[in-house]
Amino acid sequence: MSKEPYNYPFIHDVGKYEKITKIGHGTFGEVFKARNRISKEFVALKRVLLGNEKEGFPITSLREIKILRALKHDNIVRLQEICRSKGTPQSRKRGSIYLVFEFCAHDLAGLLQNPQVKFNLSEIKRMMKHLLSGLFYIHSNKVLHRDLKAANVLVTRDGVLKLADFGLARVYSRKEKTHCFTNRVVTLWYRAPELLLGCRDYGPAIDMWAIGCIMAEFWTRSAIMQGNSETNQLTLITQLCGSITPEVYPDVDKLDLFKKFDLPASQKRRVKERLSHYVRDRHALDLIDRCLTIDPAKRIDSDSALNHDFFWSDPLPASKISCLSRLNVSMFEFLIDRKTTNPQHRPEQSQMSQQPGYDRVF
Amino acid sequence: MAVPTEFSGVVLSLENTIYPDEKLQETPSQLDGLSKEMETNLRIAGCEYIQAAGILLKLPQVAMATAQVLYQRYYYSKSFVKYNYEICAMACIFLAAKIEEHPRRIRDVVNVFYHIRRKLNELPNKVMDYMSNEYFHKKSEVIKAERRVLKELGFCVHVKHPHKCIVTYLKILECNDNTELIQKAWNYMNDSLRTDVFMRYTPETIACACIYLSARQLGIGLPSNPPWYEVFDATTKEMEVYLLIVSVIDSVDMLIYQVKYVVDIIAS
Repeated sequence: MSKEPYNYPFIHDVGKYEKITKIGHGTFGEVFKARNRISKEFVALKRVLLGNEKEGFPITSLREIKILRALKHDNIVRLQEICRSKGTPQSRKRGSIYLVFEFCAHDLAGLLQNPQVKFNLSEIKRMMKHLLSGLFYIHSNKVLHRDLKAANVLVTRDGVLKLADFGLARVYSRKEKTHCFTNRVVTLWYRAPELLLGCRDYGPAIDMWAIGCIMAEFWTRSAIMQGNSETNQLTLITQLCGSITPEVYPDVDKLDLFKKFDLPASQKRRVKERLSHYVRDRHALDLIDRCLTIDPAKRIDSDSALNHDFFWSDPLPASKISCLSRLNVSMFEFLIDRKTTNPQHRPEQSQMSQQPGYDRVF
Repeated sequence: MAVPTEFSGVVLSLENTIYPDEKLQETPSQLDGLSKEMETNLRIAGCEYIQAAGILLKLPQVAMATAQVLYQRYYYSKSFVKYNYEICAMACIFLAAKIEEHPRRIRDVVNVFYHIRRKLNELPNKVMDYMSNEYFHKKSEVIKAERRVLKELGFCVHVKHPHKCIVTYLKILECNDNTELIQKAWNYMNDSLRTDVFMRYTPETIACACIYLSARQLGIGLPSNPPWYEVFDATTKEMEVYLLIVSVIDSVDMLIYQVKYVVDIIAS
């Protein structure tokens, strides 16, 4: 193969890494923990599924590669390189493409599901600050993440948070007034009301909604609105954030699905009231409340969120997270799901039916 | 295959890859015994194919431009003798359409190339049979070629184009009202996609050269002491080489005119 003199080694064989264990799985493909055979450095290998691609190399992976190459930030997971594996003719296996990422020890969902992991207020502030700094960076680079959830936030051993999985991300521009994006993005539990109502012209505010959900999870320890269908999710949102009416969200009657859903009317907004049992800090409550604003135009943006009193009042964000250095095992949601006897299954993109129909609103 | 110790630095860049001179001099195709003229022709023919197909597929010009750069780059790693230029052109336009966020069905890409080929051979129009082995075979060839292009270019497939630079520079030079100048510079830029200048120079230099050529032709004076283009990081030497390359475009073979003719029919 490498006999040709002009075969520049632009892309290496994945054999330079030694696969250790599988740490994630989803519609996007599989993720493995692996180690560079020479430098002994750990990495995460994400395999791009090519098997049943009728339309060639998936456009979502092309976007992910482009976006991750352009983005360089401490709170964004770093794409180190791209590798490939060769297909073997005997087993009729086709070759694959792997994205090689820096390795992070935990994901946020895994950490929060572990009762031994405890964070104090100043540590939560630090983590939220990282999360919002990363998001501010991608938004100012005109990228929407579109799949923020606790499982897509990675945490290093040193307690640095990194946004990961840009498989649904895409570039938007403020100039183009009429976008025609798909509204079938973001895992149901983190999906903003405008998306659920069929909005196709959305912006960075959808990521801020998800941030609000994730922030509350630092205290509640599990997702705050676990709907089992779009209608159910909207009902849960209404019960927490109040009825969705043209008074609170002026353009809502222009959305396709607004009239099709029969949503509970005259519900009061009870975000602070319901969450106050968990979240004692009033600044924290206020920030969550502003993220979970029904009208995307009035929802707080990442820059204002970073300037919120939450980050500028005592106790200030911590400089390190003490309990993480004591953890010797990686906490990944994927691994926890398999270990627990009663797995709390999280809905994937567009397949959300197995959930029992309980209304879980804190 | 030896495993290099360091991470490959080339991979992690969104900048255009500039190839060293020696790589441009001895191409894989010429090492396989293909003549230089024939290679130039195949390069131009492939680019014209891409342009024609792009118009039929109603793609924006930027998709064609990206596809043409990918096509050119690919054949500095692989030989025309071993890899069919038509299949590669199909793969490049198919991939570039996705990169530039205007994805097209692979079926349409295959069909459009089929149509152009029939036109070139002066055969009557006919839609490809989607049940035929020929179609099935072409489709899987294109998908394989797409992956080869990605692999060979190390996924450095996001091309920066000088179009934007041209507009900005003309604004700085206070010539942005001269539509004739803009159009001419634009045309030069699209023509130079058929050559290897995108492997030699940065988009900024190419933009300067296009403006320089157009201004000279239209007799428009631009600051010369010091030369205006030095502000935009282009050197006099680079500009001279560029002019030489572009002049080659005017003297190429019948092949292009044949394809150009088809493009004209399609466009009209």
